[in-house]
Amino acid sequence: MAQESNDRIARLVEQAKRGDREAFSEIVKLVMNRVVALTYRITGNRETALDLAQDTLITAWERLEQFRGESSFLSWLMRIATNRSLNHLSRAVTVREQGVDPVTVEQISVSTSSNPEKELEGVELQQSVQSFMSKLPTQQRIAFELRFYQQFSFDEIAGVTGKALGTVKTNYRESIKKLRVWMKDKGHHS
Amino acid sequence: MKCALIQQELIELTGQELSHSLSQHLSECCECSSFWTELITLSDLLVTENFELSESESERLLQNIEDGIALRTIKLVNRRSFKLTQLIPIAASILLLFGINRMKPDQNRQITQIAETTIESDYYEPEETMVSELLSEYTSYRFAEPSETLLGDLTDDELAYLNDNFDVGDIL
Ligand SMILES: [Zn+2]
Repeated sequence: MAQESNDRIARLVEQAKRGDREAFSEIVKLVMNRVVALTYRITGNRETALDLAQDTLITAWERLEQFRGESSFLSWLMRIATNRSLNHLSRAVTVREQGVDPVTVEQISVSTSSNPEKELEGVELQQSVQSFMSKLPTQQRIAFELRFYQQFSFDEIAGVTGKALGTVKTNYRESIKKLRVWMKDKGHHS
Repeated sequence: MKCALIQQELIELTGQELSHSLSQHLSECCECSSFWTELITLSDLLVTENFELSESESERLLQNIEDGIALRTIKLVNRRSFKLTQLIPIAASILLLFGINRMKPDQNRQITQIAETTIESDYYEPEETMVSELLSEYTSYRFAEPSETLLGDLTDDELAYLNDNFDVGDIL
């Protein structure tokens, strides 16, 4: 995340800590897409991802006093989001073991396009990538989302996930290697 | 061997910028160079997968979060008000006893009448003031804007009091 944006969030966090709810709303606006992106990457379900992000951000407000600024605020948020999502997944696994419908990977909504053929191709590709990604191990999905999409450093990801730096790097490399094989199988070449 | 290590590093840099030394190597090594080109293709393919909330989702999420925060604040305010409500009769009792003890002996016979006309009596003036202060504090907490009654406003002692006396585990 750009330093400018981090600085702005840090200033807003200080205001929010003094009870300024408008400052907190500003933070929410700045970070909510990224929080949902992570919870979505972990759960594969858009509605669940929105619920988990909501839960994460309300919890963050309640525990704002506990944020000491040792990591970036975004890393701190992502740690809450990761824990909430992993808890959700483990509950979902329990439910599945009890014979109820499992968590399903939903279809991705696609923006409208003026070119129907290209749009269809886009839909297929997105569904296919999403479906492939959802099969990656959870820790690889987290490492991939935070590194590739959210540009976190490996150190930051280690902080978020509580995993060793080497493990985080391995998880990221594994996700890329698998996606590279997937791309070749799909016939996408450079 | 060197190329294997470099390719491992290149994988870690997928979607990122290359360092000068890596660029240097790529300009001299066909294998690593084509490996990197492939990673760029993958990167371009995946970048379209970046998650975006729709406008309606963003609005709904923001509203839900604001409602959630307001709801938790109100819950806490109500519980805090309860504490203040309890204090009013206790404070009034203490002040009443204190007031009676301070009376001159020749006034004792008038206790009943004084009790009935407390508002005008000098002896009861402090009591009235303090109770009204308590009442006004209670009222202001009860009806305050949620933004004025945040968890952060509570002192550690108050938080401990809430924890000890009420079921606030879901809030604190
Ligand atoms: Zn090489």
